[in-house]
Amino acid sequence: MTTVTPSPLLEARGLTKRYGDTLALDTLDLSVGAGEVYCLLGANGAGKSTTINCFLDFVRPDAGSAMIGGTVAAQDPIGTKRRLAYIPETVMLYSNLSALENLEYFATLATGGRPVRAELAQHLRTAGLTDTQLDQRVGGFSKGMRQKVGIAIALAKGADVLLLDEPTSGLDPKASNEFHRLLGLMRDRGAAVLMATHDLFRAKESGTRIGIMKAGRKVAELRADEIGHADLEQLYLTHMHD
Amino acid sequence: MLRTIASKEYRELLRDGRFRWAGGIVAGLLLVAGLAGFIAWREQAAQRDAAQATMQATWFNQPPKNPHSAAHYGLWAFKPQMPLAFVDRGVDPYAGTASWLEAHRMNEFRFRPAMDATAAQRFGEWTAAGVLQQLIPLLIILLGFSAFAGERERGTLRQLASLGVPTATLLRGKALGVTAALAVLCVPAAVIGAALVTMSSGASGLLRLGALSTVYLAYFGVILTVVLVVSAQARSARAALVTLLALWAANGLLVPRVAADVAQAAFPTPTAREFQAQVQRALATGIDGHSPRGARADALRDSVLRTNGVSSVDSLPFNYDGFAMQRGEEHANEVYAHYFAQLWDRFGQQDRAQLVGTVVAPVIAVRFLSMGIAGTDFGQHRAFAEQAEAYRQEFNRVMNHEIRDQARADESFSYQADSTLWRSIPAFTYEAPSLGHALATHTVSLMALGAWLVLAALLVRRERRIEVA
Amino acid sequence: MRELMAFEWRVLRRERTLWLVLAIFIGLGAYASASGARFTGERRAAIAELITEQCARLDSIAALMPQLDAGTDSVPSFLDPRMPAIAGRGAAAQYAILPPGPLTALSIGQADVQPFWAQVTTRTKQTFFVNDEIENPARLLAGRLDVAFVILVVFPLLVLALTFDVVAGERERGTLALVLAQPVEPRRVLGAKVGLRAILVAGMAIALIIGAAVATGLPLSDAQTVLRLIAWSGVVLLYGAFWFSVALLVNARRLSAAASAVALLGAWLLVIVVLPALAAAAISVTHPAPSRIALTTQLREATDAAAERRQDAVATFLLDHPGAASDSSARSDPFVQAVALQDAAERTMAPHYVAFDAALDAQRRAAERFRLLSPALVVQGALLDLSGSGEHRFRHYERQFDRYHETWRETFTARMLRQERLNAATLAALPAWMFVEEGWSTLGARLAPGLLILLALVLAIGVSGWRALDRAGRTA
Repeated sequence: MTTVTPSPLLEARGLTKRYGDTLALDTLDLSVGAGEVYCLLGANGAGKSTTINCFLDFVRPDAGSAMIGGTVAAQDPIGTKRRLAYIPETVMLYSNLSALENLEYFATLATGGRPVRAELAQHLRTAGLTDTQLDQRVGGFSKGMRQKVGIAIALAKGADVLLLDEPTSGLDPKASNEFHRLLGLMRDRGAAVLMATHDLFRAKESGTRIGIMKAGRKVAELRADEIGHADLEQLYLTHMHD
Repeated sequence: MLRTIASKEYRELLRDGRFRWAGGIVAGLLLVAGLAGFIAWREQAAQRDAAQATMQATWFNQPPKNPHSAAHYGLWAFKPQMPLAFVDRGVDPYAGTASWLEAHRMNEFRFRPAMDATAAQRFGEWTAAGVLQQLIPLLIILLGFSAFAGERERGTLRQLASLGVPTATLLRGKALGVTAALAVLCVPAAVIGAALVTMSSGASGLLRLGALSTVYLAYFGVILTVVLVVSAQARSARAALVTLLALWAANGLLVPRVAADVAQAAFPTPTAREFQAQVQRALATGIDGHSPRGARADALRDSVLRTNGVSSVDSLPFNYDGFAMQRGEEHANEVYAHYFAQLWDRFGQQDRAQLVGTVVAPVIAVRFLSMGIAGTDFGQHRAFAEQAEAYRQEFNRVMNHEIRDQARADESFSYQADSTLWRSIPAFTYEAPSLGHALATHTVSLMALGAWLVLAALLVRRERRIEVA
Repeated sequence: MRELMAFEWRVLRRERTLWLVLAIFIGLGAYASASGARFTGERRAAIAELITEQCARLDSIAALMPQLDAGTDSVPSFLDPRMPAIAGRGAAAQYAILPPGPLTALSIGQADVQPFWAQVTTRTKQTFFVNDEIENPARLLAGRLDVAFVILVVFPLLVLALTFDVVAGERERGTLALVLAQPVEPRRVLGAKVGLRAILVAGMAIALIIGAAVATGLPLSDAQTVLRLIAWSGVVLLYGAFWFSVALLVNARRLSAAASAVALLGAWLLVIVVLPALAAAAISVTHPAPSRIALTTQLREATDAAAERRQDAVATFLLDHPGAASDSSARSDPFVQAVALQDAAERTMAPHYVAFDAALDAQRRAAERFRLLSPALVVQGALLDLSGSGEHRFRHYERQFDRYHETWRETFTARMLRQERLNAATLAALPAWMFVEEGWSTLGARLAPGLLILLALVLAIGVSGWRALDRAGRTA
């Protein structure tokens, strides 16, 4: 594991978002540096997805700022999106297009240039797809295969920030393990990874730091290597009870 | 249980923005169409009645003149407006409104109102009947397309099914609910219509309005059933909507036009010139083509002389010119009757051919029935034309017989008659065919609509299982 | 932008909707072309018959005249074609024909309810427009499925089918989130999607028009026809642009696919049904068509009144038309008397005719104003006018007809008074009928206001839709 660098690639300062009477985010502070994997734990509605949406400029915070590499996402959505890659819970693609064609499309959007097919094919292979799967229509892809295409997009983009929303939900153990391997790959390349998840096991296994959210606030933050699996579960449930 | 389902459906619909907007707009259009139609109708009716009275007066007030001149002077017959024409104008804009009744010739009807209307009006004008035939079905689609498909998507259908509600009850309940919502719109419209009709034409109009309402109710019932069945069978609300809209577009926009084209191709009519040429030929050479005018005239004269036992026409006990003219007139009448009847029968064949389209588009049958009841179909134009023609033949006969009986041999065209003769012929009045007669003309349409009702009932029966998930 | 559209094409061409729309376009286009071709074919055949009859008649008269002069043939006096009264009243009468408009095959318009010929004689005008072609009124009621109808009514539905789920579909399929996570302005991506569809639809529309032009046998070597076709295509593209701008606006609002479909359908109903219905009702209530029946009654009364004062009528007539060979013989000439009576009746009727024409023209002008209520009406007016099958061309024909009728009457009145007989040479020299189409300046002046307003509307809606499209970039 690399050491945490002082200037965070991903930073949230006092992030606040209100939906009507509900406070989805309550002055959230967060920072993730290069080579770090930050796992955000919390119940449904705790604000994990809202946090990610703030970095993506899908929602505008009412107060505070979400910054990518020092730039506020709300002020420069295009610029910040260039540096990040987003993999939603279910990576939805164009069913009638092949994996390669889908990647070509998103890579073109992402880089604004004309990506070379051979390079894209390589990214897909790095992400774990076989050669036959490259030209298959994604309509029949499993959730794991779709996720691999999502990762290939991140690779093609050369993004140094990765936003993951429930990446391991619905994956079988083998796929989950493959994901762990790929996550390590991204981390080693120096990416800052923010991962919202329910998966306590994966959080401890793959994460550098862990944050627990409840009702829009961060109620606990610790290093993954400071705690064991059983204790992590205990800590989590304790916070959920309050 | 039926009432519970129906009243929930009704309440939901009434609160739904869809119904308020769409229903409001359709109601507004119905009102505009009905009122604009009524204003125009009243204007037209008054004009035509006044014009007919004026024309009749000019006939009665003719100065003393030769009866044959009077026959040439003739009379104009103007087609009056039927009581319900403001609801369904039918073919009136496209059929002539005036015919000149004169000696020797049966004239065609002139002055199609459509000729003087603008293209914008032809494209945009909606009569009340049009709104009922095209837009209310659209409203029914909008109200009913998600009746089952929407509940299925929301998951509430599963819950209903788990409560043990039988499918048929569900269908009938929803149908009832939608009908009740529609009634909010249609009942006031019917009441306003009834008021207008009573104001303008009294009880006979009300009977026809009742018949018209029944036809439209049956039509709406068919549409509603189709909508609900499609909603029950469709995979999603979106699929149901797309299917129903496609059906509606085909039903309203395409099928009637294609059916008209097909009918014309199957039963072509002659061009105006061909028709005139045929008539002229027959007048000159007789209907069978073998007896030219000159030869006929000679044969007639010879036979009359023989029958009366004289050697010259001057010795006949009656005026020969008058007699011969009437014979000539009768021959012409036969020719015209033959060819016009042929032409009008051909139109009737075309209309019946159009009804073939009813198999996919019930609106065609409803269109013809609606026109028939309102008194604006071609059959009733024909009835007027025939009555006007009968009147023309009558006054020609009277004029010719006057010469035959009263004029001396040498004064055939100088003999003068006066207003006693003119007034001896009663004024031209039109007796519209009764409602029963009109319906009898459209039995095929009635049967088609009936068939659709039966089909709808069968579809409802067949829906024993609706997919709930 | 081009790459985005290329990708969108890849997605779109593998879906069913595009091909279904294309199939419907082709099917309806073929049927409509056949329908239009049949109509103009029948119309041309009828006109050819008329001309044949006219030529045959005039030829036989021209052959008869020298024989009558020479005395080798004789006819009763009331059939002698050398008498100007007889010739003018029917024997030498010519047909004033309104040929089908340049693009009537594409847009039949009012051509099926308007008379297209009248036999010009010395009689009064009212006897003329009585020659309706024989057509089942129920068929006229049903209307024709011509190319203009397909464009006006069906084309927007096809645009609707292709555009209602551009944004909402992506959102509901889930791909929108991934797209918007990329460093592109949402506006450009979504705009490219709509733009590609617009290009495809424009292509289909142009192909339809060209295909129909070829299929209906339009004379593509004639410059006027080609110019009109180009103008026609321009109007159709403007109409398409209108519907795409509306689609853009609806897509920019964050509705579900089903709600977008309903919104666009609502727009269709508004533009094609509701607004035209209001416009039509307004026209018929504020400017009802003047009554031809009333005119007929007035004419009858005027004729009767003239007949009562026969001698006065003749005297007035002779005063107005000096040049009679001999006054006394003219006064007793039955033909002169007939013309004099007709003249007197027409003088009484003149103010009625003027009022009638004024009312009709006022109705046409009001219609042009009320058209502005709906883009569909504006486009219909433009398409019909450019095709030559609207009411304006017919009025243009009526005015030319009136002038020709006047000339005809004057020619024959003069001859009748001078007691000049006709011969084959003078027969050939009689004024011939020539219909002149409306000029581009008249057409342009009439169509420009509506089309310019529509263009402004398209730009306004398009710009606001384009701006609003950015907000579609928020998925939450």
